[in-house]
Amino acid sequence: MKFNSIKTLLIIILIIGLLSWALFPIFYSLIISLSGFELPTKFGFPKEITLSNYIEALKDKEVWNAAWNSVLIGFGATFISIFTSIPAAYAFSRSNNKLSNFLLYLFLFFRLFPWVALAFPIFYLMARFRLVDTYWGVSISHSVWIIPTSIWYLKGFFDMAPLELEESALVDGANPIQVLTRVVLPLVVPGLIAVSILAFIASYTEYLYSLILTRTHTTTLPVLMAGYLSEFKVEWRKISAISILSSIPMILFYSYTLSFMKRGTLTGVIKG
Amino acid sequence: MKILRWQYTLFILPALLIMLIFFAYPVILIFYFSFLDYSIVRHTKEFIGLANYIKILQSNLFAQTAYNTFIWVLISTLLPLLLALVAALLTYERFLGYSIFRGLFSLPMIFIPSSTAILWALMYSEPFGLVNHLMDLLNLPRQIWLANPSTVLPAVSIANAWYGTPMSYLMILAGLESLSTEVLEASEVDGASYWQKVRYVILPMVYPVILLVGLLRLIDVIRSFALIWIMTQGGPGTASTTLPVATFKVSFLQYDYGIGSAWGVINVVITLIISIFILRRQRV
Repeated sequence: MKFNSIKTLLIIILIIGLLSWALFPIFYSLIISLSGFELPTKFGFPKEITLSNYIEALKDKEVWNAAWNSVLIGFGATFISIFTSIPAAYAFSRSNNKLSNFLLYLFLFFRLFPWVALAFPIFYLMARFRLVDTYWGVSISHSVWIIPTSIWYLKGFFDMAPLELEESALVDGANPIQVLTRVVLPLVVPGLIAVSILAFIASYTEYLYSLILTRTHTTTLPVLMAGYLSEFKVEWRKISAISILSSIPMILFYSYTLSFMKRGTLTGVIKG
Repeated sequence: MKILRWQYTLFILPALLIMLIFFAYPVILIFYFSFLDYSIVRHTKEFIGLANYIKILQSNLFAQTAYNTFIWVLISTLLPLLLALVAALLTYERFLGYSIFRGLFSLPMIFIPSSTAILWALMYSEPFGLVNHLMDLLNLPRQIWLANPSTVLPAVSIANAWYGTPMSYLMILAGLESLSTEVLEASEVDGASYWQKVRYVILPMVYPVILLVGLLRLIDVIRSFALIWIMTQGGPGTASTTLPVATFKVSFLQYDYGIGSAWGVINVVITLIISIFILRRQRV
């Protein structure tokens, strides 16, 4: 490809434009989160730069409590969905009859369902089971939406694992559960980690079910943060700091998952 | 390996059990509730047939909600698609520092929906918001974007578009990078200019991917609730009430579970018809 000056200029303008679109909201909230008592009321930088908003956010018991709840519920949802998805995905991967194909597509269909429509019946059920405002209740409600996706991803990984090892293990007298845990699972560990991370992210970012199923005891971070916006006087500096801090786990997770998914699942999704 | 029926059942059972109790049963419940006059406020729970549906379909709110949902879906699907396509074509050219660009342009992805809502509520706020500072620079009047019925819907849709752009970008980029390079090289040998190459070679080849990314995004956006609810709660009035917001509002703010469930069923029917129609055409 040949470069001439007009084209180079055009490319530079496009790059600046696109990056401003993506970064200005982040950059601006970073500035607000670092600014002192006086917030800028016109275009420009704040008069004073301070870390006190972050310190205030990190000293807040409520924030720590919500973050801890989010982590616990995230682990619970990951645990439930991974341990139910592994055997199901394995069975789907190794059997090819009408019933299993039907069930597999049924699980895909779950993924298309509008979550909000089931909010009330789920709340009703959880109230019946006395699971409202408990860690297990919120975790289960999240995992209902994570399981279908996890099964589809895991099935993809199981399909790629070679069959010869399993057959020789069966000949040696292992039962299917032993084959799955001792032979197949070690082969798909990287995939398993990626799917677990995606499950955790899905639960960590979930808002709707956390909103209806948590009261005071199990409030998650997204619910606490959303609440700040409806307060009478919005404390922009503190909540900007919290929204920056809350994305730190996501940076760690995405950097692993994206590098892993780039070739595999992402292109797999597109090629259909 | 052959799996026997009892083993198969045993393996699938745990996942199936959770889905039956916490998905299939609630689906049945929502249909059942939608035929009831069921409200905590009025202390009622009795069968009234299709009355809830008739009430909704005749209300002004339904027309308003359908219109709002259309605008919301339109902006938050097309805008990210356009920006993602331009960015992907740029990145595909491998200019100096393109991998830094890829990382920075994908950055909005790392925020959770609640953070995104806070970021954009700050952007639109008065008197501290950046959008209003920019209006000053352009000599335009300041607005209270999220409290003005005529600006609220585009405002939240743009926030949603911002949040969705990185995913569309990464998927379109993956599609571009899986194209065979031979055709591109052939067109270069034949002396095609950059625009001819994009217009007649790259776009037709990558068109199915763009369409798929757009349609998947549409299926996601038509169901999305968190961002719009956190930023506006469907307000002011009903100016930003979309289908999911209306469903939630009736059940959890007005405590009218019968009508709320009917809204839910309408929501399910519309979403599934669109999704299945799309997936059929795409044969995903």
